[in-house]
Amino acid sequence: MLAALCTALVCGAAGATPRDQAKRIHDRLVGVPPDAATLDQMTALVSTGQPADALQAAEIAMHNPAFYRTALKNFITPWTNVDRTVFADLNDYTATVIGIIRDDRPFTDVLTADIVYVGTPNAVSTPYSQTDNVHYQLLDQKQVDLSDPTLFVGVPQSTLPGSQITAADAAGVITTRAAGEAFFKAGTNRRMFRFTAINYLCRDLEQLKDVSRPADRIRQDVNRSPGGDSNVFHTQCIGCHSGMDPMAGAFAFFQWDDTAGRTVFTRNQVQPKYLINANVFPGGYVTVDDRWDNFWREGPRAELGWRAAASGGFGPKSFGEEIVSSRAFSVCQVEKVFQQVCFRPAQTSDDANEIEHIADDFEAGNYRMKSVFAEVAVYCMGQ
Amino acid sequence: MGTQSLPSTPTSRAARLAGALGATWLALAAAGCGDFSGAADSGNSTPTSGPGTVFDPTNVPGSREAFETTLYPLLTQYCVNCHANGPGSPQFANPTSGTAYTEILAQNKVNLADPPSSRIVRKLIDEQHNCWSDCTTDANMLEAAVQAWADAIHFGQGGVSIGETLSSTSLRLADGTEDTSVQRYDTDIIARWDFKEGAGAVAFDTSGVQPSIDLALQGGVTWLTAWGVQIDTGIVQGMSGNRKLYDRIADPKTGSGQYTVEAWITNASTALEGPARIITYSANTNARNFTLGQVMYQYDFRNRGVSPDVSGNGTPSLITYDADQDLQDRLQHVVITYDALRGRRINVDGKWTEDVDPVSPPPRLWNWDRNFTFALGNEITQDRQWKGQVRFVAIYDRALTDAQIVQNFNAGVGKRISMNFDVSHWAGPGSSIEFQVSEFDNASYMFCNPIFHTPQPSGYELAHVRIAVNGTLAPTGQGFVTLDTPITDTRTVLSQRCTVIPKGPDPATDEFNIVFEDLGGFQNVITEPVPPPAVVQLDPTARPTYGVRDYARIRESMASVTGVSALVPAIDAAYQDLEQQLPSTFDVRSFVSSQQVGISKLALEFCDALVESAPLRTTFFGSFPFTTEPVAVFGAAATPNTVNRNQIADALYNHMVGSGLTVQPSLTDMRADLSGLVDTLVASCLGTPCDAERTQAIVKGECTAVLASAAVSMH
Repeated sequence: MLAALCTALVCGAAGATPRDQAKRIHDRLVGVPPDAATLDQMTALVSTGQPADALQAAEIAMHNPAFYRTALKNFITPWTNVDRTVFADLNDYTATVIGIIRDDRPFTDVLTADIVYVGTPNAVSTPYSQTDNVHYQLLDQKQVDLSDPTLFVGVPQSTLPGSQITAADAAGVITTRAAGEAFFKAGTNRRMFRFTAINYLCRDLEQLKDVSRPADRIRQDVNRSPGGDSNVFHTQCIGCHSGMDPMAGAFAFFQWDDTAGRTVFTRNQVQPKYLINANVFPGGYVTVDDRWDNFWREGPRAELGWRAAASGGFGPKSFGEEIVSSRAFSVCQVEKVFQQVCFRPAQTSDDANEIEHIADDFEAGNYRMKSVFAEVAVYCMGQ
Repeated sequence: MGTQSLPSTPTSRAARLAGALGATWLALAAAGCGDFSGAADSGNSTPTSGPGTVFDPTNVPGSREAFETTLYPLLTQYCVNCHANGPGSPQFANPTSGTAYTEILAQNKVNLADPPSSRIVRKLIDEQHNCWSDCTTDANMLEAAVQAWADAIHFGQGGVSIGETLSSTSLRLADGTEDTSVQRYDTDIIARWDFKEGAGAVAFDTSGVQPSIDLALQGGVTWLTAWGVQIDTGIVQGMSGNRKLYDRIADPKTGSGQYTVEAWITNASTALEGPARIITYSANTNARNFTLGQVMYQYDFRNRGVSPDVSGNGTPSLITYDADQDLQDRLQHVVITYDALRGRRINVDGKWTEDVDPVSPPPRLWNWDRNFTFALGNEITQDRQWKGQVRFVAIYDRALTDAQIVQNFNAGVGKRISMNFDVSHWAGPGSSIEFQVSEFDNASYMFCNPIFHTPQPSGYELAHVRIAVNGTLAPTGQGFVTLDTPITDTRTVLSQRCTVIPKGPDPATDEFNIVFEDLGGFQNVITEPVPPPAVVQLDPTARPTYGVRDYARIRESMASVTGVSALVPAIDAAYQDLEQQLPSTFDVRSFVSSQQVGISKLALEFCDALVESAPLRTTFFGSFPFTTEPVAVFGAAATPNTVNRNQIADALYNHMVGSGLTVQPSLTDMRADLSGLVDTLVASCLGTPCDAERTQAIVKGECTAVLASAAVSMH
C-alpha cells in the first residue's frame, strides 16, 4: 500500500490545482501539512490568480509555529557548525537568525546588530549563559513556541550578563557564543571568515580565489614555498590567503576558551593565534590590531558587488557591514531559500532571473526575509 | 603637496599627461601607459607582441572571444562533468562562457605567456588528472589551445608594460651589493657545503679543513639557481675524506667527543618514512655513526655511542614529538648537536624542540666506524630515499650553543643582495628605494625591507609600490601594493616585510624595476577592469520534483495531523532513538529502507497514543465502538461493516492526507486499501473471538499505515 500511495502521489504532480498549490506552499514553507481550515483559506487566495493573494497565502502559512521551531531551525542549524550538520542543538546563533526573521528585522542585522534572541522566563527558567548552551537546549526540548513574542525575545548581546563586548563590537551571529565555539576555536580565526563567506555569500574559498590580489596582508604562518616550490604559492596559496587574511583581521581580538566554555574578547590585544608559526615566513604580515581590508573589491571578485561605505575597517561589525551590503549577500539569501523551498538549485534562466528579481525585492523591502520565503514559495508552488 | 609637472623626457609621456591634467588618474592598463594597446603614439589599438605589452587578458579586446573559440570548446567537451557546476573547481567549463572565462583567469589555470606551464596542461601530465584519452595527447591538445588563445591576442610575455610609467631605473642582481651585515658563527667548522657551484657533478667542501669531503651528485640530483641541490632520486655522497669526521669528532685521541650538524633544507613532502636519510654518516641501513632522518612530520636523530643501550645503528633515535610536527615542507634551519653533557638535541629554526635524549648518560663516541661514508638524501645503500632541497650543510667538531644556533638561523641562507633603485627622475637627485633581494627558490625572488632615501623629503606621497621583472609587473605576489606614506625623512623605512615575486627566464639577466602609483607628486594609478556582476549559477541536473520530509518535519507533521503532542514521553523517547535514522534531507534519492522503518516506528507511537487516549481518539475519529470486539465492529471480509470501516478511513484521510487534492491518493482508493488491511487483521478473530483491545489495535494499524505513508512523509 505504501508503494501505491507513493506512486499515486508522484504521478499526481502534473496539472496542480490551486488547492494543490496552496498545500505545496504550506508544506514547503512550514514543513507540515496544513489543517483543513488553513488550506481552505490559502486555496481561496491562490485561486484568485493574483500574485499578491498568493503571497498572502504564504504569509498565512508562516504563522504556523512549526515554521520557526522546525523549518527555520533546520534551515539555519548547518550554518552554525563546521560539519554543517543539521543534527545539532538549538543555539544562540540559530535562535538569533530565527528571531530576526520572525520580527521582520532587516536581515542585514544578522552580521551587524547588537542582538541575540533568548527565551523569556515564561519559556524556560534557566537563563542565557555565556558558558553553556543549556538555555537553548531546554527551549528545544520543551518545544517552546518561538513564534510567540512573550516566550522568545531579542535582547542586546552587549547587555547579557558576562558579556565582554559593547554594542559597537557586536556583529550579529558572528559574536554569538555558538559561532565562537564553532569558528573561533583553536586554529587562526580564518575559519570564521570562510564560513561567513559560505553562509552569507554562498561562496567557499575556491570560488573566491584570485591569485592577482596583493600579498601585503598574508600572515607569517603561510608557507611561500611548499616543498621548495614557490610556484605552488603563486598558483594556489596566494589565491585564498591574499583575500582571506586581510578579511580575517577583523577577528583578531576573539578567541574561544575551551576551558571556560565561552568566547573571549581581548580589546586592543591581538590573540596569540594570529602570531603563531612566525618562522614559516618571517617576512610575512604581523597582525597588530583588528584591521580588516577587502582586497577582493578589485579584480575578478568585484563581481560580488561590494557596496558598503568603506572597503576596510576595524572589528567584526564593520566587516559584517561589508558582507551584508554586497549584492552577493542578497542573491545568496534568495538562493538558499530557493534550494530550501523548491528542493533544487536554479536550473534555468527563468530561475536565475526570478532569483535576481526576488533579490531586488529583498533589498527594496528592507531585507525582510519572510518576503523572500513567500516569493520563492509562490514561484515554486506549481512545479 | 599637489601634483607637479613632470620632467620632459622621452620616457615620461604618461607622466607629462598626468602633469598636464592635474589630478587626472591614468590607468596603467589604458592606452598611454604601455598597456596591451602598446602603440599609444600611433593610436593603434591592436595588441602587439613582445615583452610587457599586455596587462591583463580580461582587458584585452577579443580575448574572451579568442578563449571561446580556442580553449573553451575543449573544456566544455572534456571537463564539463566536473568543472561546469561542480564538483570540480574552478568552473572553467561552466555553460556560461563568461563565467568560465573569469574562472580560468582568476584562478591562474592558464599561463598565456608560457602555455606549456599552464596549470590545466601540467595537471594532466604530472597528475594524470582525468585524461580522456592518453594524458600526453590530451595535454598537448590543451596546450595548443592555450597557445592559440595567446597568439590570437598577441599576448607575448604578458604583464604590465612599465615602459612609460612611474618607475625606477632597471637593475640586475649583479648591480647590487652583497649584504654581509649579518654574521654567522663559523668557528669550529670542519666541513661545509654552500652548493654555489650551480653546475657539474661535484659539490665541494669549502671548509678549508683537510681532507675535503667533496660530494658527488648521483641520480636525480639537480642544482638550484639560488644555491643548493634538489634531490628527487639518488644520493649526494662523499667521494673521499669521509674519515675526517671520525678523526675530528670520535677518535679517542684526536676527536672532540662532540659535534654539530647544521643544515638549511626543504623537505619536499611530509609523507616520507624510513626514516628517509637527510644527512647520514653510515654504511648501510643497519650501521651508522650519525643520521638525521625524516619520519613524516618528525625529525629522527641517530647517534652511535659506547653504551649497552645504544645499537650500532645509532638507536634508540631521538625523535621530535609527533604532535609538534616540527618537520615541515618548507625551508627550515635544522641543527643537531651532541655533547657528553646534554646528549643529543634537535633545533629547528633557532629553537630547541624540547625533545630529550632517551639515552642517559650520553655515551662516548669511541665506537664510531672510521670507514663509514658521509652522504645526503639517501642511505649509502640507496634504499632510504629522502626528497627535498639542501641549501647549506656544515659540520662542527663542537656542540654549538643555543645562542650560536640562533645567530646562524638569523643569518639566513643564500646570497642577499642590497639593491638601490634610482628614482631621482621623479623624487629629485639622490633619491632611491632600497630592497634586500635574494633568490628565494628556483621559481621566485624575495624582496624585503624597502627603504626610501632622499635628500629632499618634502612630504610628498609615496604609495602603491610594485615590482616589475623584465619590464612587466609580476602578475602575482606583489606585497607592497598597500604602502602609502608621506616622505618626510631622508631615510624612510617603508616596510619590514618581504614578498616573493616570480622569476623571469634567467636570474643572470633578469632586470627589475620598482613601480609607483604616487611618487614625488607624480601619479600613475593602476586601475583594473571592472568585471560584470556575478550571475546566478545554474545546475540543470534533473532532480525529483518532490522531497521527503526530514526528521524534524516528520515529527512535527505527525503531531500536527494526529493532534498528539510530540512531548508524550513514549513518543519523545522513540524520537530520540530514531532521530538520526530518519531522513536528514529532503532529497528523496537518498531515501533508504531503514528510514522508512524509522518513520513507521514513530508513526506507531503517535497512533498508539492517539487511540489509547479516549478524548483524543474521539476528537479525531468521532464516536466509535472502540470497546467492542473487532468482528462486531468491522465485520468479516464477506460481510464488511462499511459504515464503521469508512468512519475510520475517512477520518484518517481527512486529517492526514487532505481532501480535494489531486496530488494525493483518492478517498476511494484509500478506503479500499484500508478495508483490505482490516480484512486481514480481523480474519484471525473469526474462529477465535478477540477482545475489544483488538479493535483498537486494528485502528492503530490503519492509522500507522497512513501516517507512515508517502502521503504524509512526502511533500
